[in-house]
Amino acid sequence: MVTGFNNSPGTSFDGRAFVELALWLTLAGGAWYLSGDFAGPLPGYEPGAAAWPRFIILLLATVAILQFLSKFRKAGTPAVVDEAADPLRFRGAGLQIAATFLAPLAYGWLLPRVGHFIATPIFLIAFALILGERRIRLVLLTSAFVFAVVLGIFSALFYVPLPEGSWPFFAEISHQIMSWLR
Amino acid sequence: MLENFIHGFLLMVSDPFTMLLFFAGLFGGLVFGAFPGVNSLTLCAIILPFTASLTPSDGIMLFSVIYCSGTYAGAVTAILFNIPGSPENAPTCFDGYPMTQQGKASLAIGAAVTCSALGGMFSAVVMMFATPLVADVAVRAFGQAEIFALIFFGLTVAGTVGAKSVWKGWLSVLFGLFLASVGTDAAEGVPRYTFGSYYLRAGIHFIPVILGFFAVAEVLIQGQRIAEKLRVPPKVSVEFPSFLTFWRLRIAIVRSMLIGLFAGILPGIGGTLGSFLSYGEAVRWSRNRERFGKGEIEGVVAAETANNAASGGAMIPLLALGLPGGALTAMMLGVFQIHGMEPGPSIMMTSKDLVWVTFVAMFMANALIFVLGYVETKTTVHLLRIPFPLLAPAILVLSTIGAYSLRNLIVDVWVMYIAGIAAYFLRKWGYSTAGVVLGIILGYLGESAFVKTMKLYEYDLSIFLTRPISASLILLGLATMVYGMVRR
Repeated sequence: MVTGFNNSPGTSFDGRAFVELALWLTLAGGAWYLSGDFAGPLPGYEPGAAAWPRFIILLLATVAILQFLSKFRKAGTPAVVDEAADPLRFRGAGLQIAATFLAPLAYGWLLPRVGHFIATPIFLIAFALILGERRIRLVLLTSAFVFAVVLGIFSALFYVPLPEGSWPFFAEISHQIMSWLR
Repeated sequence: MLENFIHGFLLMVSDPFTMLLFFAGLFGGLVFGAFPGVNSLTLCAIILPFTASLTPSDGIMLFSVIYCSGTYAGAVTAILFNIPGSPENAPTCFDGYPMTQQGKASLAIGAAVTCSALGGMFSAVVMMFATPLVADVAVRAFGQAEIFALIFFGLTVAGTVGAKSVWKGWLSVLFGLFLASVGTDAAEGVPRYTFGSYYLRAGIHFIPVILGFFAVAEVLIQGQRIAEKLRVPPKVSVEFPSFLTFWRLRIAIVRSMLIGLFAGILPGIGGTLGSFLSYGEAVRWSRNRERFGKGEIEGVVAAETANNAASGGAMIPLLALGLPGGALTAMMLGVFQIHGMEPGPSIMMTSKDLVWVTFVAMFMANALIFVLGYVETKTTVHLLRIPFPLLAPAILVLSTIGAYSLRNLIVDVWVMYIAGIAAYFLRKWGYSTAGVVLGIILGYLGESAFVKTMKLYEYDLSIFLTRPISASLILLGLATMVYGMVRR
């Protein structure tokens, strides 16, 4: 009943199998260690609060080891070439990919500091440019449209209290925009 | 029953404000459901305080209509962008998105429209006929042991679909179950893995995780493909599935209706497990199992019929017993409480107008989904024409607002982005993000059912194998695991 889904298939036995096993076992080991903070029987439930997560952790570690052994066993057989395979490798354009990952994080960091009204339009324009869109007028128009829709629906219609910023200068601008909108 | 239906219908159409709310709910659910990043749950969370100024009947009717239209509309983003509008639509991605990549998006959306409407109308009719009876039978037959066994079975099915291998499928589900253990334990509320954080005591909210796992991860993956010049924009077609297609899938449709309705009726189970189970059964009974996950229309049909059939089913325990079946029905319970009302067995007598207006509205909403959905099939596929670099920032902004506006906590935005980056690697390495999400959603419920069973039967584990329904479900789950291993 295993289906292909749209996840990119992996590769045959290689270094990644070790990395995956190490990650799962680290998670399991760390979680087991931390479960010591709440281990011990409870007055109304003998197995205690740690019983359930520890059972899950044991299963997780067991399946991770079985997965590793399964790959190890298959390593001797010739790898099947999968046309759809898209292993984790970057073919250049590393800077653009790094920016694709970092821009949303920067937006999430700036949002509570400079406020939604300033961070969002900047992010809309910047992210489109990062993804390679070079038609500046189209980028500006689309960003303005999306921002207007967001303002109209969330701020003006439903009064959703979106972040207004904690840095004084930006917070004042946000207050001005809010009072104008409402 | 017909008399009550006509009475409810007349009550609804005779009040212009109620009709206005009905259409607002219908379009609101369709719009919020069909935009990647926000969903019907976001809309309901936003408008919940506003329902205080509505009559209880209008408030419940509005939420039930949003529930129906939002559940359908979530399939559109699942099919077009691999971003399910709600967890119920996650299995729709399995085959819907590959169909889009093959230029068959309109066929997938057409199938989703038709089957959502069929599933929804079927469950609405069952709801009208048998709300008290069905709720009573379901609750009597399904104790905590059976709920646990059903969750176990559902998770074993989820472990065998969606990932590159059964090992990865099970690891995905187990990872989700582990994340669900963050917060407090189900027995006595002891904090677990909270690191002293007040926020983590409430557990990890599944909406930011879903937005991260699907919306953020998809943007990152497509962003990488754009950078590497590997992204091929999908072709747009406006072809609707033929009657013959649905006739060929009639057994799958009926089976999915029953599975969805059954899952919806059980408190806490809801459409998410229903659509996974339905998808799993479609794979199990199909003669073309190898086509699933690669763009098989039956996969879309199974998931979408079941999740909409669950919407009516979920209203049955809510109205008859006051037990919500999921996040949105829990909000409906909030609407009742805002007005100082408690749904329960007597509601059919004490608030007959409210109940019948809700039933009629849900039936009409599902009927209109068919009409509006047909138009939508011809129009929304054109969203694919929008260059992804212009669409992606909008998806991330809407996701950010969707995550933030649930509880007005910036930490939810961070959870979303961290989940997005984690999901990027999980997907790249062949794990099932849908499996993780199902683990998160059902983890606490499963633990709670297990703990209650253990307390009730004095820690006797054999109880799961001595009660017929629970034993059958446990054995089915084990058989699914063995079957998955043999077939890998």
